Amino acid sequence: MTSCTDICRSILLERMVFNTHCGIAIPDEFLEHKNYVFNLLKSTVVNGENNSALLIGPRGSGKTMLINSVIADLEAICDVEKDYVVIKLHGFFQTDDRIAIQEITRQLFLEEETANRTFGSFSENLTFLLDSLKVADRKATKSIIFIMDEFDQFCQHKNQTLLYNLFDVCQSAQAPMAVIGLTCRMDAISLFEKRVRSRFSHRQIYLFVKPDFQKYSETFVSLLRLQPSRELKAIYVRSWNKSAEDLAQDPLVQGSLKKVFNLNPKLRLLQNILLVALSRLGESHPFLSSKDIVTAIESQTTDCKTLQLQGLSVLELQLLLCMKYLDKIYFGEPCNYEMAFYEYTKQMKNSSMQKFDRQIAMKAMEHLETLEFIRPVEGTSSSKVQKEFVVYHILITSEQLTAAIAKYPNLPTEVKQLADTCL
Amino acid sequence: MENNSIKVTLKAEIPHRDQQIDILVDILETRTLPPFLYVYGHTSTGKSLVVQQVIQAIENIQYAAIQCIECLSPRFLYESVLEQLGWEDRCDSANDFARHLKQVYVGRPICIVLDKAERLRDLNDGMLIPTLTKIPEYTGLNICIMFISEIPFEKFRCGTGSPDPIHIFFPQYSKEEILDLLMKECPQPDNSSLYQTYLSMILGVFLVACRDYCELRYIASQHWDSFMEPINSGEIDKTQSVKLWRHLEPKLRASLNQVYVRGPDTCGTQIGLKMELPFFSKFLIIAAYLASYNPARYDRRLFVKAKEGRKNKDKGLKSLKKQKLHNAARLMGPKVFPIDRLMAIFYSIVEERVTPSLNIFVQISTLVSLKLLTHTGSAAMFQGVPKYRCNAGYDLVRSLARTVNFELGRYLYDTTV
Repeated sequence: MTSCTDICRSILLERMVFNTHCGIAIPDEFLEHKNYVFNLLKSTVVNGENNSALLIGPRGSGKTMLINSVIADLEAICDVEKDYVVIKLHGFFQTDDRIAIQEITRQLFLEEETANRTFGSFSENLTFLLDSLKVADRKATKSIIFIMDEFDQFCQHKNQTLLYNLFDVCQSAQAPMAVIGLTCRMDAISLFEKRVRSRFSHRQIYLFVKPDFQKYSETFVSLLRLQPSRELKAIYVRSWNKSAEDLAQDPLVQGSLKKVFNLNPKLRLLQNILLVALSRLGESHPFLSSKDIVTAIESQTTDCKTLQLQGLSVLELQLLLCMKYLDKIYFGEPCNYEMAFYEYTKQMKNSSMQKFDRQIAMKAMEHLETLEFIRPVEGTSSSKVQKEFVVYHILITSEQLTAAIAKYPNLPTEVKQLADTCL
Repeated sequence: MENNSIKVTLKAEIPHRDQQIDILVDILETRTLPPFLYVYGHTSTGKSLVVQQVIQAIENIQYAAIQCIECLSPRFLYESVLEQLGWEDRCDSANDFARHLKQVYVGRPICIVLDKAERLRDLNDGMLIPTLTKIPEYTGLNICIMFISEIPFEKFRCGTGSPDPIHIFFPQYSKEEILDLLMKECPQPDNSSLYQTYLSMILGVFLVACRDYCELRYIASQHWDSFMEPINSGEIDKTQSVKLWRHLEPKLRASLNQVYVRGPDTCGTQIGLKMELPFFSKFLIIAAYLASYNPARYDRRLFVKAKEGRKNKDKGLKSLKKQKLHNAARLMGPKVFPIDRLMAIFYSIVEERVTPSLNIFVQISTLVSLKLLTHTGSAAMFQGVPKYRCNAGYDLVRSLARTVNFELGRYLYDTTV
């Protein structure tokens, strides 16, 4: 018998992984856009109009979610079997037009029809596909809705053949069709070739989320809220929901949430944090505590570089400090290994610490390079230059170094003093 | 509960990684895996081991583990992932990969572990990583993409970006933890306290330069015999740790310069002594070094022969050395010089008279093919004066100079190092 806690845990974890939950509803400011897109698609399906539009919004702003909910709404009022087909393309996966047309064929279930044919051109192929959908008279033709995720990727295809053909069909009203592109590039229109641009309807819908902390903490609660169901006892649901609301009111949690919100208000991060916190639930630990949330936030938002710096050896840290120092006194000029090593020997002259040879320091430097704390200046890392003289840019800020040095276990005092002078 | 028993067994098996085992088991032991995990930490901190053991312990997961070093192109990656999931066919595009993944999916969550994921960044014009991280969303399946890497995640961001992963950090082992780990491989289990003293000696010396567990393990195994030598011969009693330390310390200090390098000094002094070069070649290298590292305008002051009125030379050099340059020449690397300057310096430093012959020029091109000099400038054969740069380091040139009794320091403008 699985306990309520286990069920609750798996329900909530599922919710964090898949965006299937009423809590992650479409924000109010998007409703207008949603209605607009919905009407576009509806007129395509019902009246056989041809439409094209571009949804533009940053990553995680809810483009895919919006389009999915529009399609779900459309399903409710129209008959998918008879009236229309939805074809979903994704710029990352259909990386060229050949693959794209294969995928379209597949999604139209026309593989068998095309198997024995050869097509002279792309447009011929597309026309064949469109014709196959036609029934005797034009009125009964199925409408096609193209949803093209990562739309900007399709602009990279050779001659933009796919886009040209789709928009051409769209514009010349050969078949009822809607093309909706989703992209996070603001300049997506300017990626079009001229002939493609002139065929596009220039409907652009911008999706921008206004960051609002009030809403953010509401989402936090609604992500955690449970609905009473057959598996869960009502009393458990009530106490769980109560605990979730209390959690959101906790000043410690609020403070940390505010910090996360100011860093990155994306839903994905909040879901990740909650996922980490929720995964710790168990029989011995049935409710989330404020400490769980705070540690989860900490584990997901701490700076990677600072953590990595704490794992370096003292020698590597010293070299980094020297490079940082050189970077400071030469106003950001890149420096090479010899300069860093010379600085190191200078500083070690009056020190009681172990001094290291060039070779070991070189190895330390190479290690820093593999960790990408330093990066060779472009064009200098070629085989023509000895590795001692390859110049590097340092990619660590002095704040990161200070933070790492403050936490470094058993750091020799001399290095600490060195850090104080260097940073 | 099963969950806890997995944790207990794994923690017993892999010491000092409790936190990481906890969080990985918690996250993966569910019906739904998160779409994107990022596991990072320094080399040999047990990342791959923990991940592998955890996944194997959890029965519910189908998984494929890939070393990204092996993947020269996305195709290798796709095919080896699919092969491990039980699908053997060609697959060279992301589209097919996603399609085949849907076909191999049997209801159990799939986990794709990509070790050394930083290697994937250059593949497919940098589009591979965004594509991989989109797979769970695109396919709508419960797939977990797990990256294992030693660099910070921000280095993976490229193009128009990818979703944020869940970060799992593996911290470097502390000194005590390393000591404890090394103690597990004690060669003489009945003598563990002695081994512990030995290890703390080793760590005391080497930990400053190297915190890599694997490297430290190698070092520890290397010096054990020489540590035991006086004890076995009865010279020093094993309780006299101070004496043992005095015996071992010089050896450790000597080998300190071989951390990571493993083996004798490979460049610099020794190779210079070993390398058999013709007499004039040695002078040519020295001359090239001087030409590369001395500014041309000081040539006159440095190389004018004694009988031609060299009396001010030493004084001149001293006053030169007083001027502290902003950036010492040695640190900035070798400069390019034309061949006539090389020859001029060469004739000036060679004691006997040498007639300019084909022999000398052949030796120059031999040095170029030995990579001690590099030919720079235009590739066209007969265009302008050929220019060179010296590739030999200071240590090598100094040891060469010693073999021909040449006082390098006197002719060097910059002797800062």
